[in-house]
Amino acid sequence: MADDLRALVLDVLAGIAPDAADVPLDPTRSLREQLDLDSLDFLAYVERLSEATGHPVPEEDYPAVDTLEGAVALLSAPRAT
Amino acid sequence: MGQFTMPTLGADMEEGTLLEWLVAPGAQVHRGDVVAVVDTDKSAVDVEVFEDGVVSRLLVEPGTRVPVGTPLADIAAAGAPSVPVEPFVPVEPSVPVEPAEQTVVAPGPAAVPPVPAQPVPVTAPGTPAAPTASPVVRRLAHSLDVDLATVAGTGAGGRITHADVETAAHARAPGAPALGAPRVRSSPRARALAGQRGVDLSAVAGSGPDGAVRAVDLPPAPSRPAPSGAAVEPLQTRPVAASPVPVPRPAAPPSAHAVDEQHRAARRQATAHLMARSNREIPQYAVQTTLDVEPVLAELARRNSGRPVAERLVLAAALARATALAAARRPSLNGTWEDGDLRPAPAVHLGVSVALRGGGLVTPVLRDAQDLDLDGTMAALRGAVERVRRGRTRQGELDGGTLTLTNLGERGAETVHGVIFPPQVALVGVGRPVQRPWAVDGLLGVRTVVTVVLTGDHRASDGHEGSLFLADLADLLAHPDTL
Repeated sequence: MADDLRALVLDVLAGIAPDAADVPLDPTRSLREQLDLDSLDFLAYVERLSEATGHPVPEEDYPAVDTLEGAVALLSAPRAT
Repeated sequence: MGQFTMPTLGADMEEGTLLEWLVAPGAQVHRGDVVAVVDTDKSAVDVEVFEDGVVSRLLVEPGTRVPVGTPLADIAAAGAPSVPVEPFVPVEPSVPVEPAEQTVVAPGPAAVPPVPAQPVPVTAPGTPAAPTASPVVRRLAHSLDVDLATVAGTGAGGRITHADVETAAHARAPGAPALGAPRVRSSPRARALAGQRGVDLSAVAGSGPDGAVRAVDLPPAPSRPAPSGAAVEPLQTRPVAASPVPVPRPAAPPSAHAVDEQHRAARRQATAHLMARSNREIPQYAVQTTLDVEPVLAELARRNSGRPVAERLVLAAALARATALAAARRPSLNGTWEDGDLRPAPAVHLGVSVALRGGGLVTPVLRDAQDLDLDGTMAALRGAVERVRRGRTRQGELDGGTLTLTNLGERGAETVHGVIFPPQVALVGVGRPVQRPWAVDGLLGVRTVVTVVLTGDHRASDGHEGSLFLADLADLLAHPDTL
């Protein structure tokens, strides 16, 4: 499950930063920094993650999804009903 | 009837390559519909048609590079009959005609396909020497370089109709230049077949009388059939050409990577040229201020909570909105410098600098930005940036800016003294939001602030006006409910 989510997150990132597809990502470092994402890129990233998983991502969760491991963790957690 | 021609998509554009047709013959189009994708050397651009109608004929194949102004497609006026495919009925030929080869020097009308009868330019007895044609048809003939005296009219009483003129223009031998230049001797059947197959008659050795080209001289038809319904013919040249212009053959499409590299190089050249010109021509001054953006950040967070991601706002949009509003009040900062004088613009068409991944800068324009509310500004900004990143901008999207905003974003430097994009007269540069010590109600606090630098053209404005602009900007951002 975590592997699937990880692959999904990487897939979404590849769609936004295709040139960075081969960059080895540190799962604990900021994705914005590693991939030079601006605010609109990050918004697109959050939007696609949310669409793909059905998991809402409110603004307060942005810092969490800004890392690979954070994104996987958040998306694995059961959604608040 | 009108023509869709290769548009000018930039002041320095002389040629463009048709990349892709997004409509087929028979398609109904409306003013503003995107009908094709054109490559301008710097990027791929979606181009629009300017009138309602039906696409009657595509004239240029994808992959072909043509000068600006070259007809790309014929658009029949909505409701008007499209080019007839049935053969003509000659009014009264004075020379007996037959389906077999007949060599003529002057290009005459030939039905496209098949080619049974050959109407010879005549006037029926009793009709005036000049063929009758309505003013609209005359204008059409003029724009297509068709000599009305050579057209047989199939309308009532020998009147020349739209369709007569159109067919006369398209039956002109491919590769044959416009009026006034030497013509290719060829038979009507050879011309019709050459038109269908996209063959340049001037490149074919003729076996007919005086070297005229006959149908048998043409190279065999290609195995791939032409798109149904469309006789895709090579482009028609403009009257300025003194000698026949060879029909450009679509080259093998370059790889996507090669295209990207070409675009990048061309963009760099364009930016280099513009920035060098800016420093050469514009006496630039700069005024700077640091603004507390916590009120606007709080307002954005408030609006965003409960909103789906697709509707959320970012600081960049708020900055663009505030800039547009402040600029609308400052004619000396929003407009162009042309012919030695300031031309204030009646609207704010805000250019936004977008840094491309892999390098390079593109500046799409948010038109009439003063009329967009904050949500509208966000949507326009997202759309423009997305199109730029995808490499598919819209026609006109990169032109006509009256002021430019360079927002370095959250990972940029603190301060940017931007360079004005001529012929504009100002540029607003915004650095990244940082936390700084701040005086809050007489006490020391910490606030998130951004540094804004207004660069102005000193021929159009001065430090005082620049300062007023910055004061307005600060005021708007301090009261974000006004955005």
